[in-house]
Amino acid sequence: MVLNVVVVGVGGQGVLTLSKILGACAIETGVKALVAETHGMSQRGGSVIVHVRVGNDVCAPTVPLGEAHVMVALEMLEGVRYLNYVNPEFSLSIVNDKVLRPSIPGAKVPEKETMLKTIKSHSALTVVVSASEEAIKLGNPAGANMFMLGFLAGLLEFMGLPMQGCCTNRVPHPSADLGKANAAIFERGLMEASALLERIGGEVTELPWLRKDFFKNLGF
Amino acid sequence: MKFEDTTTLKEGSILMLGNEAIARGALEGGMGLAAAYPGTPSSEIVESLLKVKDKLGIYVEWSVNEKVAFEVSYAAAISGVKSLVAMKHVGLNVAADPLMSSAYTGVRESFVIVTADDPSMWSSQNEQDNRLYGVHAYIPVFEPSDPGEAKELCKFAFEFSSKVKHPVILRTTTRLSHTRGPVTLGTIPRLTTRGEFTRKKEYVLTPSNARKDREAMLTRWKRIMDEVNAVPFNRIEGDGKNLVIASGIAYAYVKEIVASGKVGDGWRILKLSTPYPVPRKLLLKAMEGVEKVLIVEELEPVVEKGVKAILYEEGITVELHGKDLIGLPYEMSHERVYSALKSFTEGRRPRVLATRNTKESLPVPPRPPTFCPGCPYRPLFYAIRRYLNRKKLSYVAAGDIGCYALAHNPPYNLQDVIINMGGSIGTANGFAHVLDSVILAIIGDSTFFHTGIPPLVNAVWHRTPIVVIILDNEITAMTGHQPSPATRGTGATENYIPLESVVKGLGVNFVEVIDPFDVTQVENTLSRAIEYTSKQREPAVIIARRKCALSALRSLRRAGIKLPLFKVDLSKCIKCGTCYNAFACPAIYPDKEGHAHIDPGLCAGCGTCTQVCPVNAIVPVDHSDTYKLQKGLIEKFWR
Repeated sequence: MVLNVVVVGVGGQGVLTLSKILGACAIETGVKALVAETHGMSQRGGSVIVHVRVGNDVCAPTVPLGEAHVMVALEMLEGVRYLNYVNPEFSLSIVNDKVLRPSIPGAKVPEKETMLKTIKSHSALTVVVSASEEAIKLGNPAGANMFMLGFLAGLLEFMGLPMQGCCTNRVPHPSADLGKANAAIFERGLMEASALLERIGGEVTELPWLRKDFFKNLGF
Repeated sequence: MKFEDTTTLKEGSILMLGNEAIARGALEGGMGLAAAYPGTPSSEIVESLLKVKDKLGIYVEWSVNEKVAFEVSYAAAISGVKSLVAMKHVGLNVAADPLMSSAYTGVRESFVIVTADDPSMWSSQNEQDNRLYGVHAYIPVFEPSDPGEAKELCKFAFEFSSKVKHPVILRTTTRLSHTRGPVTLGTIPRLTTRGEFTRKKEYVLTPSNARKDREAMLTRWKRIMDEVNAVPFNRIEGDGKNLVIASGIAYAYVKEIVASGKVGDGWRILKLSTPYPVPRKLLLKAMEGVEKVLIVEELEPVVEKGVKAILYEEGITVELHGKDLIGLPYEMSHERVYSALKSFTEGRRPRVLATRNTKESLPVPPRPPTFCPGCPYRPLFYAIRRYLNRKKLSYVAAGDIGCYALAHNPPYNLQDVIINMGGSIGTANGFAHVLDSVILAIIGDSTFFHTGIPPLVNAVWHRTPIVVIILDNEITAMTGHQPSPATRGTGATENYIPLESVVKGLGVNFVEVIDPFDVTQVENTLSRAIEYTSKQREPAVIIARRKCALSALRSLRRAGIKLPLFKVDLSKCIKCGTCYNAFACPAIYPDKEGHAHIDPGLCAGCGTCTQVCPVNAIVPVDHSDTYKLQKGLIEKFWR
């Protein structure tokens, strides 16, 4: 089994940092993972997609179109842009309630409601989270990625990959204050994942891969 | 785990970036010296090695360009020190001259040439396939299929080169270099930088010696063609009458799709890590009982041509497909491999995997990379654009490779030709002789040192009236902040070379250093430079100096200094859009009515936008004395 995740957003939002920690922790639990990054655009405000593939059967670095189990969108416009990776039969889209206007003259951004409606119609289940807002409240305006990391760690833990502790340890500490803020934001993300699992009642037909035994046959 | 913390590990599996894996493989292969010029997607190889050089007692440098890096590394190899040189694919064009010669002379110890190709041109001007340099130069090419194998293969390349006394090309691609995957660690032997040079005629390529070298090279090549049959990374997998030959990362896609069961059974795979030369004996073994052959590889048909030649020589006739089904341009994908495998067996061509989402999506505006908030290039290009518009000047702006190439995009629309490193000043020389327009050349500090100096000498020599603008952010920014000769370091191991001293030394008489944050100063200096070139008929050079915003912000963050943010006074804002459309800072955005707002999460606190607002509506968030004090304090981080 392979779990396919695409993490999308805008350069500077910490897409790479999030994905790298996720991959490193998966490896630490003993399962294979590949993380295909986008460099160059990543710090200069460009559109960024990172492919994270977890599972011992993974060989190729990229997620096939329409085969992402999870799409994490740190920004809504980017969530819409990469919908061709998402599948209405089984994809979970986790969307940050944040829109960043591309800084090109006269750029027309669709209405937030229209964008959300499109994402929802393409996904089996869509969850909108206030990752940026929570991050600002908790002391790091650039910490929305830590919220998403917490969310994903919560999901993977539920699916049988014991990686929550590893992720907690790897939350970046550029300074004492930011480290503290990041840890708190990560916790918020974890809580949000638990809340979702509780709300949908754990295993559901919309997300057939969201099972407690997804990673079980790998020996955990 | 950080790369610098991994040197003491001798076993276990950790997540590594493909480029880190290559660096690790070099260390395990006994490398004593490495040199490179940064370039995406190759930069992290030598960046990683630099982090451990002191700990391991090896010599590692950023060279001024790829040709020099190649020569530095080659000299070590012919002195008996195992060495590596790394560059992006187009960098090997710059180093092609010594590359060809290195195969003639051969080497005394391992010499591994890493070329990082960029299929799909994620950050390059072309997607040339550097495996063809192997064909051109008689150098064997190795190609890994994932980060784990990249480590092993790099280590093996060192052994192979040492054994056959010949340079070896290790070819990686963006997708491999920038993918993290599990890497199984091995032991790093004792490394040494001390060599011994023995004088030999072989190293002196005068025509009479070169002829002897040419023959010796062909003898070595015969041995190499034989040795590649025993490379353990080439192997036959599975059994069936359909043979797929897959090289490099293409193998990863083929393996996954065959294993998925979506294309049926009966597949035999010949996995290749030596696309050139193709291992003849292994190929013939793989061909036994095969009815059809499909070759899957990225970009040019290097393996395909090699296989076709061998089969013809051996008198084997078989149905063979390759580029006709898999296609030529761009990187490999699940969809391409699936489509090729399906049409190979069924004769029809599905364009996509059956599961693809076919719902109609919402059109969204593109989001190209842009100058960061606080980037000194934004006010610079804004000022140049404004000056050219106001004066209605006829001009051509010759551009170059670096972040500043982004100014080609709206709203600046500055840079009309960008073809290669150093090409700005070179092409400006030509434009000046055939056009009556003002000729600008725009080039960064690192690119100027790389290949910008000879064309500037040419302009001085021939009294060519061009205005050269050197954007000096004191770093190689686009590729991830590698130092350049214009970086003010500690001086312990690297000297700072001020650009103005170089330019004056070349004989340029108009040289001015300006602050790109000062929009008025930029316009005035540009005006004088243009006047000077038209009157004196010789080049003028403007050096715009400010630190890269990413470096400045990083040191501010580390120092724990809060940024002095700015906001828009909405009672003054006239909705003109100058700040978000013409200046185009990503931190400034309009609301539905067109009023400007500043995102506090993005604002870098540079304050240059206050100069462009026609009604002074952009003001500091904090007016207090603390702020004024802070402004003075942060200035040194930007200089």
